[in-house]
Amino acid sequence: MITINLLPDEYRRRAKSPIGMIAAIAAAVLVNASLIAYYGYLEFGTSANIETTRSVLQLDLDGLKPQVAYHEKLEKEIKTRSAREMTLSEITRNRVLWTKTLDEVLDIVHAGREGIEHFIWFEDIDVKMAGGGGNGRGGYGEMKASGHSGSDQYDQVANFLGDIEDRQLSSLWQLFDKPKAPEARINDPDPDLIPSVNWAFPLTIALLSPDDRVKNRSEAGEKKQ
Amino acid sequence: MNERKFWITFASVTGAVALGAGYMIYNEMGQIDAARQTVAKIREDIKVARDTVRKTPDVEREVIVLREIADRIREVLPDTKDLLNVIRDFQQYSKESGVRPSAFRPSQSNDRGRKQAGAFEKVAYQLTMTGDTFQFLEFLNKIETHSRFMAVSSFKVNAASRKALEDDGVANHRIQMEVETYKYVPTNVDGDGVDINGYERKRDLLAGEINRRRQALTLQTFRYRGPRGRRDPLIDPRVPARVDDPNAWTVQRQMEEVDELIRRMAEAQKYWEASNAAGSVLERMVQRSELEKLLVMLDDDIRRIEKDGRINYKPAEKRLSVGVTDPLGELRLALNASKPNQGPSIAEMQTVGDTMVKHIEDGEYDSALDSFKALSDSLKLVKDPQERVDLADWLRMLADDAKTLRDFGRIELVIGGYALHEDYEPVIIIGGKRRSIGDPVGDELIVHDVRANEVDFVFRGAVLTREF
Repeated sequence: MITINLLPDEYRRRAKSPIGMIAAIAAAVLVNASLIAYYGYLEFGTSANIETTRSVLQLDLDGLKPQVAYHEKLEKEIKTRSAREMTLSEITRNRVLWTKTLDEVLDIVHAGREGIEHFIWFEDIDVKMAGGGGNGRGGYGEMKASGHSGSDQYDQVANFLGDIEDRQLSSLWQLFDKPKAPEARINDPDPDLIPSVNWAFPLTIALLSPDDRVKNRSEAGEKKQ
Repeated sequence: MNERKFWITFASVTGAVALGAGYMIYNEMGQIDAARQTVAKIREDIKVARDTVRKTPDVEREVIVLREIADRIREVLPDTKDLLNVIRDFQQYSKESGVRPSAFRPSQSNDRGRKQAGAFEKVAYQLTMTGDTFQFLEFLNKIETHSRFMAVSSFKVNAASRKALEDDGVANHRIQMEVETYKYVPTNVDGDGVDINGYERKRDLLAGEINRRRQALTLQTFRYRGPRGRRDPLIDPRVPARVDDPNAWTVQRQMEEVDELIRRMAEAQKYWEASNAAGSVLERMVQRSELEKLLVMLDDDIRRIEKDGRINYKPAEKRLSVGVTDPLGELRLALNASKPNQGPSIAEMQTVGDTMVKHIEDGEYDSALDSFKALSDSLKLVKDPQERVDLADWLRMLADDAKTLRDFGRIELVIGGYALHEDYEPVIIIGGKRRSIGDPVGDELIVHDVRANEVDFVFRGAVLTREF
């Protein structure tokens, strides 16, 4: 359908500017332009900035990597060599100088404490070291001996055992626990020998753990100083 | 296009653009977020790397110290090749200490200890031997002070029986011991360690620390000083009962005396060997002279010991016989066979004479005569030179004097009393009879003079005094 306006010009309605349309278009353009501008800011500003920072930092990190690799190689070497050093210290720490220990036992057997004659001799001496574990005494080894005391006084056995643990007479206390409780049995007297009477007794002393031995040695060293 | 269509189209286009831009923004923000995380991680990595690198000088120092003490570790625990030397050392130590080895073999505990931590492999040996306690201690000490790490993990000593001791004269205790050591198995790190810049300079700066750590690896040792007069605790020290002699020597004293004689005998053997190897006559004479002096003194001491029955502990008796009496007899025979002159030498006679004088002065006339007896027969062979003849005469005179004095001492005199006055001859009651100067007493005594508490007699041509 065709609409014809036949009104004279003065009666015709004046044509108005499309403000709403313009406003709507302007708003749409503004919004879209803002969005595109923000994207541009993100893409060419923030992102580029971060990328630059990353590149710089990566360069820095790449520069540090050989030094870190060098450091790691050194640490690996330390690990291997320290293990060897520690193993050596460990086996050295566990060692007992039996010459010294037996020499001290000999001193006690030979001399004992002044004024007390226990007149001891042994049929055998049996020493065994162990790696620990087990229950209670003897877990780290022990020294056993079948002893005799050439005296009719059986308290001499106690005197001898007392001398073994006497800290003034020897350093055996640094290695051993206290001897087992004394026990003895009298042997048949032999009138052809002097002394004719002797008491047979077992000597059993348990070895302390390596840690305790080291601790006792240090304690003795400190006291000496 | 009417207005409505326009608006629809416009809205569609505008919306599409907005949506596209929004999507792109959203996408971009995701990427930015990821990039930020990457940057943060790199920053963290850099921080860690910097912290790591900051510690590198300390680590370098530790590596240098460890490299420098590695040779000490190898010294304490050498490789397989040196393990063979351990066996050679055992042999040498057995000889030096006097223990008699009877077996050695790798211990079964080796299998258990194969996988020792670090670069070490445990190797254990079981040794069987005989010897006395002091020989064993010396052997043990040599093992424990070896430059290589060695530890004795167990041992058992069974005392020799009293009968075996009496038969052998020496204590042959049965000894079984297990000796452990560790074999060093080198790894690649020993040779291919990373290069450290300025290694020598840094090492020199760490000299103190290196020495301290080396010291820490030094093995603890003990200096064994021998028997020092102590008795073997695995020998029954009781002595045979001798009710007649409360002063009898203890077993320890007997063993010590015999040991001393054995030492002197060994010294005499050395003089004998030295005299045989002497390059000049003068040197030979000097060595022989010393030897003869030693032999005379040894003879004298052995005679005294035997006479008094001092050695009655069977092992000591056996040792005396095997170690002193027998070799002394053999040495005497060899010495006499090698002598160009007949009879004893000047040095020998001089030494015997001195010994006799000492015995006479001590009132030990029998001992003096015993010393003389050792040479008396050979004195007949002394013909020249005059010095030897004079010495032989002197010895005979000393023997006569000793005999006179001994016999005079054996005469029992019961003196009852005496009277001394200036104007009268002294009188003494001997054996209940009154005697004056010149009166005989028994067969050989003549009263020579009487003084307060003393009386002189003429006995075999000599004037001898008896106190009372």
